Amino acid sequence: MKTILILLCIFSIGITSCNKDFLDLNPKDKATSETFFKTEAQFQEALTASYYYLRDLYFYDYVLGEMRSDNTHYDYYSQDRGNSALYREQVADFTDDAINIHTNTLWIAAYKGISKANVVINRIKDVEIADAAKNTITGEAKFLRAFYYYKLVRYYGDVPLYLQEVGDTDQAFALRTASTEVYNSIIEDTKDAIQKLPTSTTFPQSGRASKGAALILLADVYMTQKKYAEAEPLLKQLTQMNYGLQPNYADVYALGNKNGKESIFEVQYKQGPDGQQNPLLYHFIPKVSNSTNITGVNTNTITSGGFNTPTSDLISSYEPNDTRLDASIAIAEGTLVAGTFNPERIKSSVNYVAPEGKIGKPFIKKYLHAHTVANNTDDNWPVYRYAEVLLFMAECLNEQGKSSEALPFLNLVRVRAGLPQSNQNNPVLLRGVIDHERRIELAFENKRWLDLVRSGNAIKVMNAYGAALKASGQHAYLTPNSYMVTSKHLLFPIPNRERIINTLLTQNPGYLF
Amino acid sequence: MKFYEPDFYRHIKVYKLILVMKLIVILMVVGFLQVNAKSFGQKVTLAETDTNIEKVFNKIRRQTGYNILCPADLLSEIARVTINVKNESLDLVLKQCFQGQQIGYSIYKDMIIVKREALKDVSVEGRVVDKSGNPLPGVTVKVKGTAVAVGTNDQGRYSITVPEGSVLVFSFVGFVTQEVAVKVSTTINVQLLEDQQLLSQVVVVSYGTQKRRELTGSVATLKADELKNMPVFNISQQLQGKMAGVQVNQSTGQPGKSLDIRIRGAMSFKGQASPLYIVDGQPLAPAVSGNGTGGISSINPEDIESFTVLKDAASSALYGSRAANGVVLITTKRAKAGETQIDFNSFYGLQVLPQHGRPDLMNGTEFATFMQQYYQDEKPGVPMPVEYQNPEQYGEGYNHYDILFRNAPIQRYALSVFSGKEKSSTNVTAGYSEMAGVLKNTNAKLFNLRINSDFTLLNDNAKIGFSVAPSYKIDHNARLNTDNTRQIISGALLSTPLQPDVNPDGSFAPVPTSPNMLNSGVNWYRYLMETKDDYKTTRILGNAYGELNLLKGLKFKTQLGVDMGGETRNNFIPSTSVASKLAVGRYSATNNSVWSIDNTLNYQTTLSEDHHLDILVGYSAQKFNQEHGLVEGNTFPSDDYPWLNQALVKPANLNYSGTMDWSINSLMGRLNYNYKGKYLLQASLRRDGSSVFGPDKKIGYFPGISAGWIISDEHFFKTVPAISYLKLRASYGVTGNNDLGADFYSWQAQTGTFNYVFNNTLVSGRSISTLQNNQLAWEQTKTFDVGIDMNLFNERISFTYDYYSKLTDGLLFDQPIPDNSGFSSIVANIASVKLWGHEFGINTRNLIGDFKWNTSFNVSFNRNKVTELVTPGFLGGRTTAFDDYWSTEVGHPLGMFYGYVYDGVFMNDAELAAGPREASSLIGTVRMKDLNGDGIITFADRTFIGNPNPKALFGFTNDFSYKQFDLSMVMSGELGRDMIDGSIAYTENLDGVFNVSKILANRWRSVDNPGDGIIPRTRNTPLARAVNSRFVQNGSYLTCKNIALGYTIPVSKMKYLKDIRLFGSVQQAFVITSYKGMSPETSISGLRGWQLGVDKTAYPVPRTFAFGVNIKLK
Repeated sequence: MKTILILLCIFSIGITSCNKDFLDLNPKDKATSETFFKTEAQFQEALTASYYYLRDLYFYDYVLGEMRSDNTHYDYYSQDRGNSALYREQVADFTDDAINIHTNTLWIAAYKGISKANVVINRIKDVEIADAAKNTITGEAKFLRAFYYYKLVRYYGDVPLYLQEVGDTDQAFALRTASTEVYNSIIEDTKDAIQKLPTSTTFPQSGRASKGAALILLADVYMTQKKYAEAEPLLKQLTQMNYGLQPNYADVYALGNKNGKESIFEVQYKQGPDGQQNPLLYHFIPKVSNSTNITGVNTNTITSGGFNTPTSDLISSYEPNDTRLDASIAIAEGTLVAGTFNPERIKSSVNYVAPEGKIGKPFIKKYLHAHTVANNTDDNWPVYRYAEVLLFMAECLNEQGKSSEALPFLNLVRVRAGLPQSNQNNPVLLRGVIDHERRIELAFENKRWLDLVRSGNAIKVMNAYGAALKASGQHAYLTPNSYMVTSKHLLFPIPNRERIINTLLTQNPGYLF
Repeated sequence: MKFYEPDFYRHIKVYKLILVMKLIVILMVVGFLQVNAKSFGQKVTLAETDTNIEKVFNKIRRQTGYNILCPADLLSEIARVTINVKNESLDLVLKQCFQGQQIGYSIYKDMIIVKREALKDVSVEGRVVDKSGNPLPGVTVKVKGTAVAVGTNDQGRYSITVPEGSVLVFSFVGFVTQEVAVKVSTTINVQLLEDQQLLSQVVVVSYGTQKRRELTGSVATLKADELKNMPVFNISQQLQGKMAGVQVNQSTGQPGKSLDIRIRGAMSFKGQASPLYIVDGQPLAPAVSGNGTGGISSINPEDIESFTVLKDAASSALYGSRAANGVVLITTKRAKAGETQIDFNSFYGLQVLPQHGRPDLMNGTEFATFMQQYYQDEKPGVPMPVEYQNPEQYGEGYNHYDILFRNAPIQRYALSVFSGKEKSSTNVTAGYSEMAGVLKNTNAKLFNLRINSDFTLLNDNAKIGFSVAPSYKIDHNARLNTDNTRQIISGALLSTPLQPDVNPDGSFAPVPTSPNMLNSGVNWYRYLMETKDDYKTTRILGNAYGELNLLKGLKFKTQLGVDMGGETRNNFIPSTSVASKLAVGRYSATNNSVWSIDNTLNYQTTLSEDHHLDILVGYSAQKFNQEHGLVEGNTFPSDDYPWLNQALVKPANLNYSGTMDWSINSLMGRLNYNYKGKYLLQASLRRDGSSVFGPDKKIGYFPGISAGWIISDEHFFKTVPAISYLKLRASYGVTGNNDLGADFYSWQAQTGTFNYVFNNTLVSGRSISTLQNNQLAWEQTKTFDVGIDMNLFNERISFTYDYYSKLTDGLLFDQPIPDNSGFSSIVANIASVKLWGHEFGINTRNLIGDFKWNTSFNVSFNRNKVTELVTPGFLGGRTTAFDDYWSTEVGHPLGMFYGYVYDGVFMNDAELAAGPREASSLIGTVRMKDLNGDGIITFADRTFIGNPNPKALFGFTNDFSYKQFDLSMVMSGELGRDMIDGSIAYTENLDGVFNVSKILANRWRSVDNPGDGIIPRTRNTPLARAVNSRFVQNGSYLTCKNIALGYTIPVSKMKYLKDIRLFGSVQQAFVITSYKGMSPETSISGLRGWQLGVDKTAYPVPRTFAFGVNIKLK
């Protein structure tokens, strides 16, 4: 009987440990949604997570923003027909479809950034944090949300609009919202951000969104909407802040001037082993088996490099003596060895002619600065800088019929580039001058394609450009259906995955699936 | 005094129950009267068959007028009576009724008093031998109906003191139990015969054992004896083809890796779908991909005594939550009472890569010709590279595949000592196994030790046992990513045959490459030879149990187990291995520990003679903890010191450590009931709680019920002498699966790291990285099973059939959700899959006598269909056309091959104009079928192009023996399945960038030289590389897994030797298949149910020639 009692005890111990505590296990090496989001420091971290996706956003933005345009192309390499190369080529050649990795990646990055911003905006309301901190954090989050949506709405048109945190499966299946409504949300967020964000007073800036960043974002939105009168005061306000041009164009990109006085908003990178590095330079340099003679560091870029290569169309459109040519584009000179380019030295792109037996491959030089490890540079990515404020100002004044008021702003940029002042008074012609100035000044800053779309010139310019490419005889790889640019191409396709999961999501017109 | 009135009968029953004590008193009184029996004049006529004694007494009472007084408890002990007498004397009739039983009787007045016979003790001794006269030690000699037992010693001798008239039961595993009545003689020598029929075997089942004949579920068993002929590194290899419905697949030849085992097509999206392994009652930690600290890869095959596979839910429901994929119960060898034995087992073998199936790529001249023509056809203006100007100069060129391989030895040495004493027994096995890979510079080594000890205490009322089994395994490059395209094997294969891997002086050559080729930057042979990727796995399995008999039939058992596993990985790829790449080093460690406790109370009793009850209640708990970490670095000053303290750069985002836990606790109960041993019923219920599910869904209930009817025990069946045993059984049960892969907290919204830079300084970023799912619940499998077991013709044929139907509900997986939500998936219960099938097993003894021939054949026909799947109604196959082979869709079987339908080549302009075209279509390029009829080829023109689920799985084993010789042959195979050779996308690449298959010589070159109409032109046409129907082949096969010939040397006169057996074997002796690749068993995703049947240039499975010796010492 005694033994039975002991056993019953053992059993009951067992059964009592059936209680919930034994089964209530939580991660010990990370926070959960329940335990996080309590303090100001935690909200700062959550906000940082939204910034994090800027780097993802810009990873392939050059494909959509530059390679799609007449500014850059790619080095065709028949050996590498892998998808990563193919999809980049397809965006450039207007043969892309809804399974394109690069357009899809950008979509995902933007929405992840939005989701992280939504978490902050939703949750901070009910937490006891000092108002000042709450305001800045909310302001930055709203700026980021607006910024991501602005990318999306321009690239894809109507897009699903999430302004609340997604908490479960049902909330994840949203339909597309009319772009006007998306724009309204962007404007509302940006206006609120302008109210909440501080003005940058010291340089270099921190890299966070500031009042200036929100102002130019809103101005950019208005410019795209052709609401010039509404853009003008915002731009004017920017000219009265602490920003200014660097004396030399090349200085804008110098590592020492990161977040400097010309910078309004940049994507932050930092070389080193922290995972914050910028790898993009190695997408842009030619395909080589040894990169030492270009970047000073050895790696193989046979499959990773040779993208976003400056076109001769762009190079030839620089005005004589424009210092921006040498600052923006360099030539890697070398020889072909067994079909592989072997670079020997970097040459200036100004009046470059390849010597006998050599070939020269142009590449983007703006982002080539000293670094120690391949695929790991320190360069920030310029998003908005003061030169663009000036060009926007010139454009919006000209568009409002105030061409003469526009010229001083334009000429500030031209003079810095070593060019004569423009005195073009014809608004229509001046529009062309400003457009060209934007192309050169902001080359390789992912503005060109969207500028072409904004100005309504995309179809005309790109068809002409494509026809010239095909006529040149140097691009035999181009398929017959390439560069058949129509209005369909003004928007990228909604990613295929989104539409097979959410079958109610519509596709942009003209895309087959 | 009337005791037996017909009407009084019922009262007597009550009387018996309530007044047992009183009866005994009466009996004692009666006993003292000492009345001698007088002769009876009364005659009795009886015709009874298998009748209860009470009924017989009643008839006797009526015919003779005598009342019969019998103790109630004795009534239930008296055997049922079969008698046919006419006018026989009462004396004779009663004697006949009690024949062979210790029952006496006396007559007092008109009363027959039945009582137990007082017996004298006699001392019995003797010797137990086998059929050849060899002594059998360790045989249990038990007095029937009592707990008194002894064991035989080394000479097979025993001695025991028993009551006169007792029956001795001689039992020994694998032999037919024999009963001998103790008569006058006090020497009883017994010859035990090997048990040819399995019915009397005791089978290990969940939380206990059961007689095979009484099983009501679907259970397959295998004894170690049946496996001794197959010398292998992993026990899993021995199970191939042995049991119906148990699929064991050798998908890769990587050394040391455990094979995938699937029971009845078990599938799971998220987890591995491996069965739950229970070793000696202790659940093992789950394994990851056949390696690591869990699973059975660290177990020495020499330790195994038996396998039991619980296939249906009713059998496995007691393991509830983790039983959905079936349960494999493994028992290890233990010393038997009275036995002392030393076993030494060893084998040495050579693994050889067969010629068949080696990739048939172009040689030097062929390739240079191909490239020359490529330049002519596709690069008309480009000058012909010198390398391709004179193709004849190359001859055979360099074979980058063959150089990777070698003939590799495999060996094992195992020493076991068994020592069984009356009250304690211990056995120890130490083993060392080594398997070099046929791929150079790969190998696996395994050191094992196992100690099992059992002690009998408290006057045989208690038992305590301990087991500890440490093991240490070293995998050198055995887990390299070899089995995928453009990894070591595939990469080497695709290299130019015009350049060598090794210079004439033996040094490594530069990266082999030729003009226009895609330069991988790797000399793959050098990469293989220089890479170091070592895993060291230390594991300790330990368990302790205690058993206590509380009352007659009531037993308490507790078992504590620990499964501790630690694994380190030390990986270094020197800078010289990959051109223009920095040296990379990694060091990672994983520590897993699991403890488990199982407490059970078991009560066995028999009521009213025919009602046998076995009740089990239990409590079980288990907790798993893992700690893991990784350090990774690059940029080493030199390759000479491959440790991370030398690395100049250690990227912060790659270095981490972390921890995870899960826990389970459970209550369970089971009732086994049988009536007369022929109507069988079992019911069980387990309640499981698991930490991995949402707060409202942590608890799951897993019931099981099964019933059996042994028809052959029915009276009416005795008329069918051909069938000696026939059982029908049916079962239904629910089992669960909680395998959520590596994330044990998936239901919770967890935070992730999202760092950024402000002020040029790294800043910590954290936010939600996963969505919460409070409704995340158990994956449940409901299984219905009916089966027949039948023995025919004097046990010469035994046959088993099962039909099962399973519905797996709430399959766990990452439900894809639109990326625009900010998340790509949420872990959820996403699908239902129905699986059903027929299983047949037949064992025959074709020849008996000196020349023996036994055959066993099993075949199973499994089918499955997806019945429900969350939005969008399919998984996989839809987001890319390349290297994604499977689509799982509602209404179709799992993981169907999905792609374009190949339709040849655009042979001329007219065909091209007719279309259907794709963006890149040109004359001479590939043509796919336009399935949606829109005139152009897009992503939407893809469909199901093959079914990798086999229609039938079979195994076929033949064992022969003649005197000292034995021969066995094991075959297994799969029929009616498709297979994709995924390497075709590379070996038939038309871009002129890889070495390619010889058949590309038949490509389209011009309208006048159009080739075979199957292979398109050399031109960059990605469409030709998209998954399409030309990749699909028939994957049916039959593999001879093992042929073994053994010879046992007669050593009966030797002093210490008991037995020596020598054997030779060939594994993977031959493969019959039309599949063109290396092995039709290859599968890049193993037996993952929705990703079967894709070969991507796997590590090939070698043929092994081995010789072995089994030595037994006294």
